[in-house]
Order: sequence, then structure tokens, then C-alpha cells
Amino acid sequence: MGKQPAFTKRFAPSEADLAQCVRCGLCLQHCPTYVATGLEAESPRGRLYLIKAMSEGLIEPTVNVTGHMDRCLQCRNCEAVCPSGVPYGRIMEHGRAHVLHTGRAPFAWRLRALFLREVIARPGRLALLASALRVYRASGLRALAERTPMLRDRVALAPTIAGKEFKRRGVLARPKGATKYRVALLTGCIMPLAYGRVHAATVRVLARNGCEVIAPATQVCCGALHGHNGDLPTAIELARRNIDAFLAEDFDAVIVNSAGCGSAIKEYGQLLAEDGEYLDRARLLASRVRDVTEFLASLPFEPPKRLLDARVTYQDSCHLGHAQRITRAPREIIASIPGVRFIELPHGDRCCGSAGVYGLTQGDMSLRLLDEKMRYIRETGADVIATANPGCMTQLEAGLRRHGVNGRVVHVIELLDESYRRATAHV
Amino acid sequence: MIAQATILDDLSAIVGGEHAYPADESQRFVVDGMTPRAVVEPGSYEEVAGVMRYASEQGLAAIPLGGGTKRHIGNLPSRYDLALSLSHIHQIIEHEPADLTVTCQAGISVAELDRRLRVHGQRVPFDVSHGQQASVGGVLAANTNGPSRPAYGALRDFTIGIRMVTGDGRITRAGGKVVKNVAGFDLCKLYIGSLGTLGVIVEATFKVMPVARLERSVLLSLDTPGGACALSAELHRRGLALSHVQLSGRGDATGYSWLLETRLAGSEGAVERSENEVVGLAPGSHAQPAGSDVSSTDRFSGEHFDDSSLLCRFSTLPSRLAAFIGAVQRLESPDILAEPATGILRVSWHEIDGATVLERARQIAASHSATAVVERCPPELKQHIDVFGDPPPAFQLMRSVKQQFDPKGILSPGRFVGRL
Amino acid sequence: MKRSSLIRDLQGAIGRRWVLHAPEDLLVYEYDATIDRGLPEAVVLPDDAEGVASAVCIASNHGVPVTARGAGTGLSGGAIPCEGGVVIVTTRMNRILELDPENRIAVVEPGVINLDISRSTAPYGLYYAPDPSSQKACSIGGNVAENAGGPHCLRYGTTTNHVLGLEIVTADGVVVWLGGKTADTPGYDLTGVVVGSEGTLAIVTKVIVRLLHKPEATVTLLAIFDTVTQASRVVSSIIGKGMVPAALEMMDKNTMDAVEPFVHAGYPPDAGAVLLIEVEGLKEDAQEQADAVASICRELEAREIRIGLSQEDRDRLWAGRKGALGALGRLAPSYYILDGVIPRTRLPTVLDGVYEACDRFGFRVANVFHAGDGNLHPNVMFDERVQGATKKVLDLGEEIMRLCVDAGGSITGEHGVGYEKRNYMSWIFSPDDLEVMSRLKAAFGASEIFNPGKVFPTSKGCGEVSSRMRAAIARVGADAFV
Repeated sequence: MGKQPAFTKRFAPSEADLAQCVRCGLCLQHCPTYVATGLEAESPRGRLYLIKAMSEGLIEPTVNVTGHMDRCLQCRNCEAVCPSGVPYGRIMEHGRAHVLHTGRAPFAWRLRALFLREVIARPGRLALLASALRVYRASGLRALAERTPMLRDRVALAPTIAGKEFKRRGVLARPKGATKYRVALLTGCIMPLAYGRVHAATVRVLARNGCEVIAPATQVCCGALHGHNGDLPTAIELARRNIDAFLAEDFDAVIVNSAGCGSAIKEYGQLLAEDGEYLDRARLLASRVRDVTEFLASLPFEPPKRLLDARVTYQDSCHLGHAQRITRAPREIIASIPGVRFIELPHGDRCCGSAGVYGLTQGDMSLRLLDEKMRYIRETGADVIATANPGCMTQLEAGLRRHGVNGRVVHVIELLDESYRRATAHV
Repeated sequence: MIAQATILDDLSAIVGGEHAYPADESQRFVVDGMTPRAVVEPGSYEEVAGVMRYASEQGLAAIPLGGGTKRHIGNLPSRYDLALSLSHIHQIIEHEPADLTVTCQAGISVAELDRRLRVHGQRVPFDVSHGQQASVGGVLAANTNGPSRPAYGALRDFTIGIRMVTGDGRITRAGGKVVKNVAGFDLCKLYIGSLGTLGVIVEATFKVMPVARLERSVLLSLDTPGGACALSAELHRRGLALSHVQLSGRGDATGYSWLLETRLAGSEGAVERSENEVVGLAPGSHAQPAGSDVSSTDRFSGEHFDDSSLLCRFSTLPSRLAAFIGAVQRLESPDILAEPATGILRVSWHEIDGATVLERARQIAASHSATAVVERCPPELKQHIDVFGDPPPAFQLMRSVKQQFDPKGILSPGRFVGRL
Repeated sequence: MKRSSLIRDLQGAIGRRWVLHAPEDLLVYEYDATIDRGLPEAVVLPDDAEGVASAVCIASNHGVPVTARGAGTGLSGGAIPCEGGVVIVTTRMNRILELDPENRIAVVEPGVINLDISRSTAPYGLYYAPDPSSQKACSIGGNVAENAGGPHCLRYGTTTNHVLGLEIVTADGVVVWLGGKTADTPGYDLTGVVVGSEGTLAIVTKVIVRLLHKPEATVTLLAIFDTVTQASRVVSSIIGKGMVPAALEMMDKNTMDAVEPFVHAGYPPDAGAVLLIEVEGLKEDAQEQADAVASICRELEAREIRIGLSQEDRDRLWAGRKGALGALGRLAPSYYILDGVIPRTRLPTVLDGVYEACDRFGFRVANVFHAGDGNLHPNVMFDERVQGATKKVLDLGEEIMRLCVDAGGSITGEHGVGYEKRNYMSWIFSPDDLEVMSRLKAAFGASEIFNPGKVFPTSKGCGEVSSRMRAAIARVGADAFV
């Protein structure tokens, strides 16, 4: 009936991408939201079909449709198991981008984009927000809110910030002996504010393994969250600035300790596919990016020698396990530590519900996934839960508090660091 | 009512004079004491169809018969006009050894089919007594399975096609001759065990299997049925090369003797090891390898049940079999033949008050969640009971199936569950 | 008008949350894993048999058909509501109700995923044998409806051989049990006819399945051949010698080409076919069979034989086969999976015919199939977006089905007749045969209500209804039916 397609051409998911799905359904049981709801529209196959129908102009981006798109965690578990190689993550990002750029996007989407663009991508404003969250926690307000039955579920996933910030730039560390590698560290937006200690550990571990570690001063947020939420122009802008920042010197590797950021930079080549000026350099940067676990496992790293008495389980960060397909390296690192008893987490590859800003936008589903996650964590009896992404860490910490589980959440790299440091302390 | 002479004339016109005759005093076609008005022996599917069209037009009740070895199964016929003998339809239609399938006519005896297939080192895993007389069609109609079911499957598992003549005389086919086939409703399942109440089975196609290279039996005498059942469960859990396990109990109020027959089949290495493990698991002194001379006694063939005055077949859960046996054993000390792996047992009484014993036996069955079917009893008792017991939950559907397939009620009327 | 009262009634019975009626929500129930389409008027997700029964009654009162849907992984359009109406989705009925290791049975709801049965019974050394390639996604209810098969059905049989009883909802909304937990249950084997009835007789709400002991030893052999003909001869030879392996699968060159980049199975680029053969039993038996199979393969000039004994090695050998179907999505935007059966001795000639026909029609075909039981799965690759391609593919499919039937085979071995193949039924069944089947349908009182347009020829088609609904959506926009 001559309706305009809901998508503008520029951001439309490519026809070839959409045609890749043969609807075999093998993704279904790997999708957390499908398993939780039993609804086809909450499955990868269903969402692809809706996006396809929108791009054909058959349906409009109604609240109903954007709701189904919104409930996607973008955990990309489906992508990892898809035998047809459907680039689901890319399709969803482009799908959201197009809704956003039709002008028919729901208010919440536009607000979210604004927040991501004007706060997350702006270090000064983000630091201000972080300070507020620090006060929220330090003042005891958080504890009070989490204990108030009426508020309990609503505040459970509010981000909280504690511990030392990581503000350093430039040369962060040099190895004691010969420098074997010169590597850059992506400091990112959230990690230095929320988990400065992870950066500190990362730097120490890299230095111990022969790396000179440098944080290029002009780097910015990687743009992952902007891309996931369909703000591709901002994501592209941030990507360009990072390409300039990290390619200013010839690093042996660009180390990332945040799975979401690592996966985003590794995909800069796709993001900038139509950017004649930057495409080649985007690919070059992507080829240099290594997750810190991936990098260490490939060295190989110096085996830790001191005992760390702990029962450890590992939650695969989705963007490490599914997007980057790195599942062995973090396990190798954990298993290398003497004294650690490693227990596989049942459904450890299933998203914990963190998923970027998902906890804020889809609180109910996020909590549901977290509660299920905590059941399995309890089953393992682990007192240390390791993972590889700041979002997952925040979410799992909220889970521990909510379920009164004794234990701590760490980045994989922190465990290695602890073992190394004990060794130093005792030698 | 149409005169017998007319019936015979009309039937002769369909099948030829010598193949339609009165039943006389010959016991061959008597069902539960009832003698048919005519016997008809069609020589082709078309003749079967002709006979059924005629029966349908005239409203004559027909009971299809093969070797007649299963006549005692089922309720009293409500009417019985024609004995439809399939003995003259007994060819092997097609046997392609390399495809492992065979198609044969319903009247061929189990033993004859077996003999013909063994030439090629193959067999259909029928597990029936009276194989010399029992016809393939009859075995299907009565759904007769034996203790080899866990190893080789039941009839419903290895029957892949059936040709059936409907009550109104159409020659129809269900399934096919390939081993895997889901085209259309699987009517083969419906016909197996339908006791001639939905149509006349005239042909069937089976999956065949290779004859085991080595077969051996071990007989174990045990003190209790419970011990036998536990032993059998362990043998199955170990996945030993068992072709069947059967438990026979005989005795009186003072005591019972229990014999467990394990038959082993497979490659030499597997049979050897299985035999060792069977003997090793059983109390040593009691094990008695019976060698390759399998089933030499009739104790395990069920043939000694032919003269029983009440023969019941029960099916319970394997886990409850031992307790069930314990309870039924105290009821007038019957002969017992049980399959520990499937929970099926046949119990035979001699010289008892059938009605009383049956009532008690059914109570025992009910308290052990077992189904109970009377396989053999005097016609006088049959007049008062439904041999299949209370109608099953889906009886309404079954009645409606019977109504659709046999609206005139001329196919073995009254003989099935709920006197359908 | 009519539709809104249907939805109101359904909401009253099932709850608002579990009745879907917005066009976008309905749209995702118009497909399954085939190329057919059909839009429902409403979708309900009941939690139990009573919910299913009320949905059936309401649909029946409103004179609209009912189609049951599990995971929607079917390959014959079984879950597609060809004539609209209500779709009953069983994904919420996904509980394993009873696990009885001693008697080796489990009672499960229809939405339980096939593989989850084996996962939950594994601690007892038991498993559920039928293993369709989609077993990690497909539901047992769908398996029952289609009588699903799988590689290991060669030795263990298909779904029908492993289902002991069913709780069903009939066309008049009655909940009734067929069969039961015991080996024998008196009466007609109605379980046997409902299994494989493709949702046309009743809706299954509980299933009693039989479990098997895991075999002591399993050996997997992967044999690589230069040509399909060589591999086919090996199949004939194995079966002809009276061996029935647990599984005997073949993949041709095109399939290997699709699978290799994804699985990295190490298939040589110039190989013509591989056979995947699995034997199991006592370790003595498994070893002897494996040796015999290997020697047949060598005799018939296999260029390489790989043997897997450990679970890990065997998984690696199987990985290519299990991922094959999905991987074909990499070769072309669409594929059309055929499912035909032939007597095993006819394998080489019929396969030649399949390749010849595909060449003539100008389509690439990948054959990945259960060679041991003669169950062919030619996968024809095409592009749905090309004008006329779908029609041409369907014509090719018809010709291949003809080849199977002419060889004495059947038009479906495990996927079901469904919608596309219903007209081929008359090739293998006479009008009388079909009339007898319709008596069964009448006996279940299910003539019109359950999954109309499937299995038996009717005048209306999936496409017509679907395009009508789609046009309606396009015309009035998103709020069309709200």
C-alpha cells in the first residue's frame, strides 16, 4: 500500500545479513529471554523476523516491536551457536539504529541515546555521576534502599561505585627485566571509575610478563554501548578518535580487559565498513586488539607459584565468550593458580542479565536472569566468582548482596595478580 | 435370516465350490464353543474382498482365522456366521535380503516364514508358541509378543506395512515396504492387536534381522522371584547380550521353584562374556548352563498353558513385578511365566473356581497398577465377564474407531475390549 | 468482530498475558524451519492440559481451526496454521513430571526439549534414543506429532518406538490418556496412531517415554570416499551382511564444503562423500562390528578411515554432521530440504537420479542423510528472492519424490507430509487407503479443527491465507487487529 519502509537506507541491516537466517531454530535454547518467556518474539529467530518485516515495510516500529528488540540482551549467544553464521549482533545494532533514525523511535530510546552520548562518552560528566553514586553507597543510602521491601527490586541493579579510581595515562609500567612487548591499554569509560583495581592488577600482571604498558592519552570510550543501542554515528565518531589514539604508535598489542570494549574494537572494521578514510586503519587496530586473558594465554604467561586457597567459578562474559569466542584463556589462567579449585558454573555461558544498560532498561528480566544465575552460583559453592567485564562484575555483586551469598566477584586477571603478589611477598 | 445353503452357494460363486463349506463338527473353526454357519477359504485378496462385500451386504458376522491358535483370546463373539480362513493365502511376496525386509501373506505360518528366511541367515523376530500352526496374520491380530521384546522389539516395532481388507470389501494398505516411513496415519499400529475387529489382515511387511551367530541359554534356579527380578535388572543394566530373560515359577502351597532362563545371542566374545557374568552374578551352585539347546522344555514356551482352566496375562511395572508375583502366588498356587524386563506375566490355574479366582486376581492386579486380560477360560465363564476387564480410559475413542471401521458390526463382533 | 470475541474468550480462559494477538506478535508464528507461511489469528500459550482443552473448545465454538506448535523447528510445515485460527504453543508446558529410572520411563510435558530428557536421565545411565538433528532445540510434543527420527533411529527406531503413552486433548476438548506406563494396555493402540499424525487428530499434553541404558561401548567411524557411488556401495554391503549399526550417515561433497569452514572437521576438499558409522553394544560386540565395518570400507576403497572411541573424539567426528543443515545456510539464502525413503539397495541409482534432476533444474544440491535406512535428504539451495525460484524448487522436489516412489519408497521418512507433500500422498496410497485414514480422523472427531490443510489434500493453501493476512496488516497498519 505504498508505505514507506520504516528504515532509512543508510542504516538498514543488509539484505544479505537478513537472508542468512534459515529459521532452523538451533539458537532458541541458547537465548536467555526465549528460555525465560517461551515467546518466539523474544528469540533471536523471532527478532530477526521482525526486523526483516520492518525493513520490508510490512510492519511499523510499534512499541510492541521495539519492546521485543529492547528485551534482547545482545549477548550474542545465538550468534556463537548459529550454524548458518547469522551476524545477529550486527543485525540488531543496525535494526536499532534504523528505528532510532526514523524519528519514530520511542521516547525511552531517544533518552537513552542522549544519556549515552552526553554522559557516558564525556569523561567529565561521567566522573560527576560516579561521584554521586559513590555518595549513594558510602552514605548507607544504598544499604537502606536495598533492605526496603518496596524498593528492593527497583534499586537492586542500580550501579554502585566504590574503591579507587584509575586516572593514570601515559607510561603505566615497565617490566623489571627486558621489555619484550610494548602494549597499549584501553582504559575505557566505566572500568577506571568503577574498578580501578582491575586496571591496576592488569598493569602489574602485564609488566610482570615483560610488557611496557602505555595508556595513550587521547583515547576515548570505545563506543560499544552507543553501537548496541543504535547510535551508530556516535559509535563511529568515538571509533575514529580511538583509531587515531591507538595507531599513533606502533604497539605490539592493544590490551583490553573489558570484554564488551574488546569485542567492539575488534569489530571497528565492520562499524566503519563504509568509511573510506578510516576503514583500513580500523582493521589494523582491530587486528591488534587482544583481550588481556587472550594475550596472556598466547604468551604463554609466567605460571603463578603461590597458593591461593579458593573455590572459584567462572561466568563467561558474553562479549568475551560469544562475541570474541574466547572461552579457554580465562579458564586456563584460573586453573594455573595453585590451590584454586575450579568448578564449572552450570549454564556459565548464559548471560547474567547485566548487558550494558539492560539492568536499567529491562529491570524485571535482568533480575530474573540474575536470580537464576545466583541459584547456579550457589550450587557450585564457590566463594570467588570470576568474570571478565565490568558490567558482569557489577551485576554479580548485586546478585551476591541480593541473595546474601558470601563471596566476592573478581576479574580473572585479579586472581592471577593476587597469586603473583603473594609470591613476591613471600620470596 | 438368510439360509445356510444360500450362503454357501453365494460364497462358492466368489471362491469356488470346494472353498466354501459348512463347519460340521470339526473343531478347527469353533470359537468359544460357537460354530460358524459356513467356512470360506479365499485364495486371493480379491476373493477376501468379495467375501467381505458379501458379508457386508448380508450382514453376516465374520471372524478371520489363520492357524486358529489364538481363538481363545477375546470376548465371546456376539455373532459368528462365517469363518474366514486365510490358510490359502500363504505366499512370500517379496524378500530382498540386502534390504532386510520381507513381505508375506497373512496365512503363512510363522515356522514356514522362519524356515524360508533362515536360508538367507535372516529372521523376523516373532516370539510365539505353536509356530508351526500360528499364522503371521493371526499373530499380528492378537499382538502376540514374547520375552524377546526388550531385545528385538514388539510386533508394532518391526511391522512396517500391512494390507488389510475392510469390512466393506476394499483392499487397502498402510505403511509401506521401506524401514522408515511417516507418510499418513500409522494404521499398522491400529491393526496390530485389533483381533479381527477392524478388518482382515491379508499381507504384512516386516523388517528382518540377521540370525544371531551364536545363541546360548543359561538356566538359573533361584529362591525367590524378587531375587530373580533384581538379577534380571542388573543383567539388563550391564547391557549384556541378552535375547531374552524369562522367569518360570511352579509349586504349591508348601513351596515354589523358580527358574530363570537367560538366553544370550550375539558375537562369540559378547556371548562368552555375558555367560560368565550371568553365572558370576547368580549363586554359583544354582547356575546351570543349558548350552545351545535352547528352550528344550515346554516350561518356557507357554505351550503347557493350553489346557489351563484360567489363563491370565498381566502387565505391571517391572519394579512391581516381584511383589505382584508374591501376591498372585498365594492365590491357589498357579503356574507363572514372567518377563522381568517388561513386567508382563502369564498366570495359569488348573481345576479351580474360575469366577472366584479371577475376581481375586483382578483385585491383586488393581492394587499393583497392573492390567489384566483373561487369555483362556471356559465359554461359560466368558458369558459373565469382559475378558479385558474394565474399559480403558480411551474407550469412547475406541468405540468410535470401531464404529467408523465396522459400522455394520460384522467383523468379529463382540470380541474386543468392551465387547466392541 | 468475530476475532475480537475469540480473543476475549481466550483471554478469559488462559489469561491476558498468554494470549497474543498483536500483528507483530502473530507474525513470528507464521513460519517454522520450512519455506511455508501461514498467519494465525491468535496465539495462546497455556500452562497445562486444561488450558489446552479450553483453547480447543473456544476455537471450536468460534469455528476456527487449531494448530499446535512446539519449538517450530519442524521440516514439513507441521506447526504452520495454514488456514489461520488459533495456534497453541507448548513452550510453557516444559516440565519433566516424573523420572522413573527403575522402570526406565519418564513422563514429560510436550514442551520439554528432546535433549533435556537425555540430560536429566544421564545420571542414571539412561537416555532417550530418538535424536533428530535439531534435538537441542526441538520439543518432544513436536517429535510425537511428526514421529521424528534421527541418525540413531537406524538401530533404535523412531519416536513411535519410544512412546508408551500420551495424554491428549481431543477435538471436543476432552482430556484422555492413551496407552500407559505398562508394556501392555488393553484396547486399540491409539498411541501408535496419534504419534505421527502431524497434529491432525489431537493435541498431546503429556508423553510417557521409554528410556534406554547407555551402551557400554560406542565406536564411531568416519570413512572418506572419492565418490558417492563408492560410499553407497559400502552402505549396501554393510546392510547386506546383516549388520545394523546404531547409525549410518552419508554426506556428499557439497555438504562437506558447507560444513568445513564452520566445523573444521578436516574433510579433504576433493573428497566425494563421507560415511559416518556408529556401532555400539558390549565392548566385544562394538569392536568386532567396528572391525567388520572398517574392513568393508577398505575393501571398497575408502581413502581414509578415522576412528573415534572417546566421547570427545566421537563428538568431533559427529560435529560436521550435526551442524550440517544449518551450515547450508552459508551456501545460499534459502534451502529446501527433501525427505524421501527408498529401499537401501536402490541408493546408488536414486542418488544418481537426484543429481541429474538438480543439474537439469539448475540448482545446487547437498545430500546429507540417513543412508542406513535409505532415508534421503537432498537439500536444494536457492534464493527465495529470485522470481519464480520457489516454484521451480517445488517442481524439482516433486520430481525427486517421484524417483523415491518409483523405487518402491515413500514420500517422507521422518519430517512428515505436512503441507507441500500432501498431493503426493496419492502416489503411494490409493483412494481407498486414504479413505480408511479419513475414518480414523472421523473417529477422533477431528475432521476440521486440528491442523487443517496438512497430510491430506484440501482445496485451500497456506500461501493464500498467509498473503491475505499479510495484505491486511500492510493495509491497516499495526493496530489492525488490536
